[in-house]
Amino acid sequence: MKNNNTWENFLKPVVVLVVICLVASAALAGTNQLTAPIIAEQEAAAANAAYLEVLPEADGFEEITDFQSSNVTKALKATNDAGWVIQAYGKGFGGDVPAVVAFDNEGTILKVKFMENSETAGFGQKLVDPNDADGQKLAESFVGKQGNLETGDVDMISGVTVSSKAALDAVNSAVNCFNEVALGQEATIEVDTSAMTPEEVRAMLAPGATLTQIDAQEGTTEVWQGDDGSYVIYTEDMGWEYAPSPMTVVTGFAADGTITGVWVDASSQTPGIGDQAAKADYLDQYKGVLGEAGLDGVDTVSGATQSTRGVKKAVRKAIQAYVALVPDSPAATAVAPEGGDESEAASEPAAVETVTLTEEDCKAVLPEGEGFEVVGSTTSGVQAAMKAGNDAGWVIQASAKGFADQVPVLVGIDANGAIVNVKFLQNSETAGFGAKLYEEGNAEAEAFAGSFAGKSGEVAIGDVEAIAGATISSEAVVEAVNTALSCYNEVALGQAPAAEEGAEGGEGTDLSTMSAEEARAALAPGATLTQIDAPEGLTEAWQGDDGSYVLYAEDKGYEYSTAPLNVAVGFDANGAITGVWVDVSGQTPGIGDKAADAEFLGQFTGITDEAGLDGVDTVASATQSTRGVKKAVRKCIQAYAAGLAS
Amino acid sequence: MSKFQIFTNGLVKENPVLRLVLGTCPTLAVTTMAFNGLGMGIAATFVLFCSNIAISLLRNVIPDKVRLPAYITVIATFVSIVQMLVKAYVPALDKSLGVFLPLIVVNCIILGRAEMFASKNKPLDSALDGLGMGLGFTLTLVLMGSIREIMGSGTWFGMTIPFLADVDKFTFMTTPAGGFFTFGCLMALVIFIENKTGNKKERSIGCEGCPSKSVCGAKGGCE
Repeated sequence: MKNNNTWENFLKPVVVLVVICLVASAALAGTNQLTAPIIAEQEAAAANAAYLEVLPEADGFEEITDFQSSNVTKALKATNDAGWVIQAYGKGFGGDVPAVVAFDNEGTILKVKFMENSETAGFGQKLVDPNDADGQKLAESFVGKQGNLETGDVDMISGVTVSSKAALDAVNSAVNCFNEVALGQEATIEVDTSAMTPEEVRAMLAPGATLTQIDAQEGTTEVWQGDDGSYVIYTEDMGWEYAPSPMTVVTGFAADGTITGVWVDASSQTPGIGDQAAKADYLDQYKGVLGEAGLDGVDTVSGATQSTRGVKKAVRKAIQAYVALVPDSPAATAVAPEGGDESEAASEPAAVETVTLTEEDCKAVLPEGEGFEVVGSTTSGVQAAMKAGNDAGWVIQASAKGFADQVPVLVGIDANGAIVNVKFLQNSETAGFGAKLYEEGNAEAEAFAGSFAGKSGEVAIGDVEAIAGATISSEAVVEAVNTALSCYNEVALGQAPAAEEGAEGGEGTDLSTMSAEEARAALAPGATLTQIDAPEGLTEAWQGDDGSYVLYAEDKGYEYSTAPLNVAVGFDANGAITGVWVDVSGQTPGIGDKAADAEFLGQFTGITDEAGLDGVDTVASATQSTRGVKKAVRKCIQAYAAGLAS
Repeated sequence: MSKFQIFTNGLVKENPVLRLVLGTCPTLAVTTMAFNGLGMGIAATFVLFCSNIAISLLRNVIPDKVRLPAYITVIATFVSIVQMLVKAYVPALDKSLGVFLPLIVVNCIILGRAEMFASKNKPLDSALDGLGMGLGFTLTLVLMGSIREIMGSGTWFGMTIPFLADVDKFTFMTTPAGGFFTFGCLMALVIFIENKTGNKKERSIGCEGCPSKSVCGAKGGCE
């Protein structure tokens, strides 16, 4: 007889559980049999409902299964020839962003509906919410358009870039599929480059050529030469400073030296961030680039700066290796595209015209003053300086560049150097903004003027009540008042006049407010500079007796600028950049003059060669101007390396 | 207790949510709308009914050692069946309940009643208890759902209430915070009534009130 304990303690529990589970499984399987078809039907009906929603004229759909376009889930043709419905998806933030697109028979988009996705609530989910205005706006902006679309063609949702782009990609994939199945065009197949074998990568970068591996050049890991003169060069860069291993970058060169494409293995970079460096969006910028100079136009991706910059450095190494291999290639001597026009001379800052002040004018800002007499002043920016005969103080009219032109200000200063009153004179600033300054009875202008009273020495914009929204004009006023105070220092206290020339720089941008001689002296301290013949690409060149140089180059900067940027670069005896001075007077005030900011220019100090420029970031929103400075600095470096370096 | 008493026990006297304080998670989560509360309540009632009968039938067969795994398997099976049925026949409810439908498996009410009643009573009694508890649960859910929906969205079971159409909605009520708030108020009301009728029930949080207390040895395992 079985031991009761064994049965009770061990076997029975097991048996009971097994039996219960078997019965449960049977019940579940049975229910599933019953309900699964119904559930499938419902899902199909829901999908069909979506298709009918976008193409209500259709009375039914036949599915086309024979297509190759990428990222498409379904292609349907309306049975009554009302049009086509294609369901496609784009890669979004959290996963796929599906879209159902209805086309008429010519390819014009009739309607777009975004289906359920796993994007972030409040962001990508806006696409799906029928009550969300932004989502609806984006969907509606596709209607009526034809062909592949760009971000500028539709109303992207601001602040929801990734999901909006995915939505756009989805619609474009649908368009590609339509072109294939309805119009019989060639399918657009998105190649998953990350999954390619090395042979496939090389074949992609040097199409049609038979490649043989040759000895790797210095700085490269592998070099392949094609029988048609093309090359595929492998280089590496760490990219992100904490990456476990470097990124492999493969650059393809056509026979004429232009880059055919770049393939990147970014698997060592941070997923979701650094792998932007392997994306087509970023890498497409390299196509067609000729020579190192061509890399200037390549932007890094914000948020993945180190990884994308790493790719740029690796491509630069590849270009350098290519140039070493094919010295007579156009890539070796290519200059930066859209170079500045060398024949145009840099514009001088507008000269400040002198004026004569009447007794009445002076009394307006210094009521106690009597018997005003003119005094001479060499402070730049000063239009007139008067001393009160009764020693009550001084009246100085000074001006500074505002938005449109000079903003003149009349300043009354007492015998102790404190401002008594400030009067804003007629200016040509924008109506409703800087023009408020001289408007009779304008409360803001009066408050602004009043806030100067009692101040002395130097006034910062934060010390006074600038006019909200009229920043540039207000800053010009502050600068003019400070000019007047400097003039006071000169004429009343006998201090050396401050010569202000050049662009308005940020705090501490000593270089940009200096005169040309002083800027050179700052860039090559201690040296006596003599001007020498400017080499090709430069506007001026100065050589110091200690082996230092100050080189001037130009670049247009902002494409609609009135005058090119004038850039002066100082090199010490070892060839390292000591500093950069920029005249940004031709760029957009308040925007392009960021190119003269100490923070931006500080990046150039210490750079010894062109490669060092890779680490210099342009300033977002002042891209063209700051990029222009970078190009001009590059010209100086090239000229220095070419002939002047000893 | 008479059969009828067993049934009505779960409605008020031992209302699982307000008196036994069981199953508060789904209560707070799905009562944003009265319809959802009703749907959840009915689904839970069905599971409760079936599992109580099954467990009662097996009460002499299941050894004490494997009590919990056995109960959970049974309950989970019924929940899965309910889920499949709901998905097939009432997909709108499936969408609204979302993850809380499969979570009925760990709804304390069901496990609690299995432990407290079904394992010790005859099938018929267990069935009635299950029905009563489930109904009590449903009623509470509908009550809370109604309060939150009326105040938060101005509708009831989806129908707009005419005289509230122009009034600004107290949308706070449809948020999780509003759920806690409503629950607290209801509980306070119930305790008030209890005190008045001298029916005060000892409620405890933590291990004391948990049906699995005897099993996990009250080692503070819930925290």
